Order: sequence, then structure tokens, then C-alpha cells
Amino acid sequence: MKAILTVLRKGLGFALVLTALAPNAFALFADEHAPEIDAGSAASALTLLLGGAALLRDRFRAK
Amino acid sequence: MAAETTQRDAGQPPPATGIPRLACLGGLLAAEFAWLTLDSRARHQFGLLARPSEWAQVTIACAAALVLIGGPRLLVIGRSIVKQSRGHRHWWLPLVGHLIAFGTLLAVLLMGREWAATKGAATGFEALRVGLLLAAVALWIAALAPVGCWWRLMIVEWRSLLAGGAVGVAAWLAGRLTQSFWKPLSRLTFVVVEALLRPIYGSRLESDLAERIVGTPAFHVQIDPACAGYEGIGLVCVFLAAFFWFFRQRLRFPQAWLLWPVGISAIWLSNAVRITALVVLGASYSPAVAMRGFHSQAGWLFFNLVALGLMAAALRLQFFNKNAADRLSRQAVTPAAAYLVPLLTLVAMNMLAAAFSEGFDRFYPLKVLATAAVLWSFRATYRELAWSWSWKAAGTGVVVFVLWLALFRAGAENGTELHSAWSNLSPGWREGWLTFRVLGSVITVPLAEELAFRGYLLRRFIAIDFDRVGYESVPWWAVGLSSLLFGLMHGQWLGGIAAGLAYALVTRFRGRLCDAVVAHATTNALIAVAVVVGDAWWLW
Repeated sequence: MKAILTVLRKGLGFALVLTALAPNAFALFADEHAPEIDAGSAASALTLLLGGAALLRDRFRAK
Repeated sequence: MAAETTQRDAGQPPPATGIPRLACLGGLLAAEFAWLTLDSRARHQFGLLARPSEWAQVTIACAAALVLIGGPRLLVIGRSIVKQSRGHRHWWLPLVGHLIAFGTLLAVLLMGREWAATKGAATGFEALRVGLLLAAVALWIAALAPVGCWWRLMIVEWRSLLAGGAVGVAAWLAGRLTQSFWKPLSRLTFVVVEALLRPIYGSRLESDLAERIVGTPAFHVQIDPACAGYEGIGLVCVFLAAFFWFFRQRLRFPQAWLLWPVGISAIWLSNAVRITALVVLGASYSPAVAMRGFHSQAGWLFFNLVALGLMAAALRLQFFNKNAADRLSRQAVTPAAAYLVPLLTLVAMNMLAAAFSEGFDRFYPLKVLATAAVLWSFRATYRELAWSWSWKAAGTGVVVFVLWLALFRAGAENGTELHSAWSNLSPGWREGWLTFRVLGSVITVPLAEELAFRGYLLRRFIAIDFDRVGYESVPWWAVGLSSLLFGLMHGQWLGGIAAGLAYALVTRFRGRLCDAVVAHATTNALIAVAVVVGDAWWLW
């Protein structure tokens, strides 16, 4: 449980930093320009990324 | 000693734990947050997607830094606050004040902006909005624990608070500083895009370095700083930092640091290729598809290719991976693959289809066929899953359908665009598309999503060897966390979380994944019936 809380705390801190810096580091809100990274597709893209990473981790897991 | 304690406790009422009050305050905060997020008028002005102002960015950055710096003591601090707040008898007073402040804030958000605009009092309106928000937050905190408790906490934790504030402001300033790097990068990106397009269009190519405009007379784009490649570089850096941290035991340092320049170069170059492909697609195929589909999807697709490619190379190559057992123990088919690949195929096909569409999802049949093919390839694994019908699971699906209908009835006008696009298809193609849409919704989507979220994620929280974990033994927090992620993946997050909870609970009840599939398929089948028979296209 402590390990889960640690991961959650780090995830929360990281997410908060991203939220704070998003308008500067990523042009997420520039509706009129359609930026390189579109916030509207983030959920699908991150699902693909994390799922792919989980697969790779499983594939190269030490026995 | 134990006997003394028992005698003393028997003579006095047990001390209040404060849990009901904390639950009440937590529930209230969640409801208010949901209101601000779901109400279209409030969301427009205050929601997650509204552009946060400078002060909000600084506040969030400071809070983030504080969470990270004071992290190891957060649990102790939390327990101390809960303990001290048990004697907080007059907590209802600040709570009433909080409700008044929040109610006034809502009224101001919903009605005040137009009034302020007509009276020329926009600045006063902003100040009022910020003031009411701060008052509501402060009163909620005062209801949580007595003011003296917070004051003592500030005295004890002043170093963390100061450091958090300083790091937060520094992070915000660093973010501002990066803005100045955007222009030179957009120039370099422009030069590469022009060089890639010249062999394709020759003399037809039009370019203006000063304005960063490149393309043909029929279709051209302006490479502004937001398209220069900075976003991808930022994402790759974040991804590599996380990868290095989680795989630090396996990676060979300092060789692994080479992945930074390789990754940054690859993502920047892929952005130039993306813009080149955008121009080619717009000039030679369809400007609408280029702008409405490809532009918003291709960046993520390239980022996924680069990030996962870097990870695969780092784990595969001896140069980066010092753990020889990792490389030698590669398995062709892993247990996780059977549970995850169908959903990943579905998501990847969704993104590809969206990249080559101009709104209407005309490639839906391809998604169904691709997902079905992947499911078929893993059929040997799925045979072991004790498939059976359950009326309780089907009933759960009906309940989720009713809930979904109640939650999203407000968006009933949104389905007209999809319906009119579908109506414009040729007659044969129209029926074919609808058939695949129903089959996908009732068969492939429930299977792919339930295998990934309930079959894999729900149990993966408990153990790496997730396939050995029984569904009945998964703890409640795993049910909640997997449902939260399930909800966030769906556009309708609140309904998604509720549906995820229902499907996870029905799985846990009998310990069978097939119950979640039955429940999910029932919900989707009822939605399909509502669309096809009841013309409720807004549900899709």
C-alpha cells in the first residue's frame, strides 16, 4: 500500500507540474492553429503508449 | 494495561473518528468539481480545458513542488491533520460560508460575464471571480480542520512551504523562458520541410521563410512556433526520464544517456516529416482531411512510434541493456499480449482512421476487422476463460445503460452531425457501415476493453504475474483505480468511471471476466438499439 501511495504521490506531483507548464511547454490551447500535439487525442495516445510500454516490459522481463 | 484501557473506554463514549465529516467534505468537493467540469456554461469559464491564468499556473506549480518536496512526510502530516480535526466541533460554520461562497461563484460564472461586459467592468469581474474562489477554498480548508491546526502546520513545515514556493515559481519562469526558443526551431523545421517538399512539387512549391509559409497554390501551411517540434521534444524528454527511472537497474549507464540526443533528433525529424505529409495530403488529396484529421493525430502517432521504438531498442540492444537474461528470455507471445494487444489495435486503428477522416469515421469496418483478427489470433488463450452466460451480468449492463442515458441526455443535439454524415453515404455502404458499427460496438469493443481493463489492469495492480491473481481477491482500491483510468479513456469520464466500477464489481462478484464482457456487451447492445430504432445518434 505504501508503494502504491508513493507512486500516486509522484504521479500527482508530475501531473501538477505538467498542468502548470502546459500552456508554455505544450501549445494545448491554441484552438485556431491545430498544434503538433492535440490535447483532444491525448487519452487514446497515452493508452497506446502505456499499453505498448507494458507489452515491451513484459516481453523483455527477466525470468 | 489492556484491562485498564478497556475499563476506561467502557465508561466513556468512543472518540469521534471524523471519518463521516471528512467523507462529507470530500464528497462535496468532488460534486463541486464535477459541476464545474460538466456544466457547459461554467466549464467554458472555469473548467479544466479553460486556459489557466498566470496566477493559477504559479499556484499549481507551487503545489506540485510542495507535494514532491514534502512527499515523504505527507502521510504523517495527513494523519496529524485528521487527528487534530477530531475535536473540530464548529466545522459547520465555515462549511456554510463555503457553500455561500461557492454558490455566489457559480451565479457569477453563469450570469456575470455578459453583465460585466455590457457595463465595461471586466477587470472587476475577474477580481470578484478570483476572490470568491479563494474564499470558497479557504473556508473548505477551515471546515476540514481548525485554523489553529493549519497555523501550527505552517510553522512546522515552513521550510517545505518556502522551498515548494521557490521551486514552483522557478518552474513557471523556466516554462516562460522556453517560449523564446520556439522561433529559431521553427526556422530550422521550415528549412527541412521545404527540402523534403521540393523534389515532390518542384517549381509548384511556394515558400516564404519570413512568414514560415510553405505549400502549393492549392494548399499551404504556416509553421508557427507551436508546430516547430517543441511539444514532441518535451514529451520524449518526459518519457525518457520516466523510462530511465523505472528501468535504472537494467540500463547500462552512461551509454543509455545517448538515447536523449537520439530521441530528440528522431522526434524533431518526425515532426518535419509530419508537416511534409500534411502538405502532400492537403495539396494532393483533401485539404479537409489534412486539417481536420491528420494534423491532430499524426503528432501523437509519431510520438508513440519514436518513444516505443527507443524503449524497444534500449531493452533489445546489449549496448544499452546490461541484463543479459532480459534479452535472452524474450517470449514470442506473453500473457499480457493476449489481454492488451486487442485494445491497442483498436486504439491505434481509431487514431489512424481519425487521421485520414474529416470528421465522419468512414473506416469503422476496418477497425472491427482488424480487432477481430487480433482476437482470433489469441483464441487459444481465451478458451481458458470459462465462458458462461450470467443474468446478473446482463442486468448490470442494463443498469449502466440507464445511467448512461440519464447522464448524457443533455448532449442529445450532438448526434445530428454523425447522422447526417451517415445519411450521405451510398445506400449499400450505409447499411454495411451500420452493421459493422453495431457488431463492433457489441462484440469487438467489449471484448478488447474488458480484456485490457478488467482482465489485465485490475489484476496487474496486485502482481506482475497478473494471470495468477483471482478476480475475487482484488482489493477495492484496484477496482476504483482501474475504473478511474477506464473512465478517463472515454470522452464521458463520469459515465465511464461509473460503468468501469459496475463492470469491475460484476467481475469480482463471481470471479469471472466473462461477466464483465456480458455486462459491457449488454450496455452497448442497448445503446445500439437506441441509435438504430430510437434514432438516438447522440449516444454514439
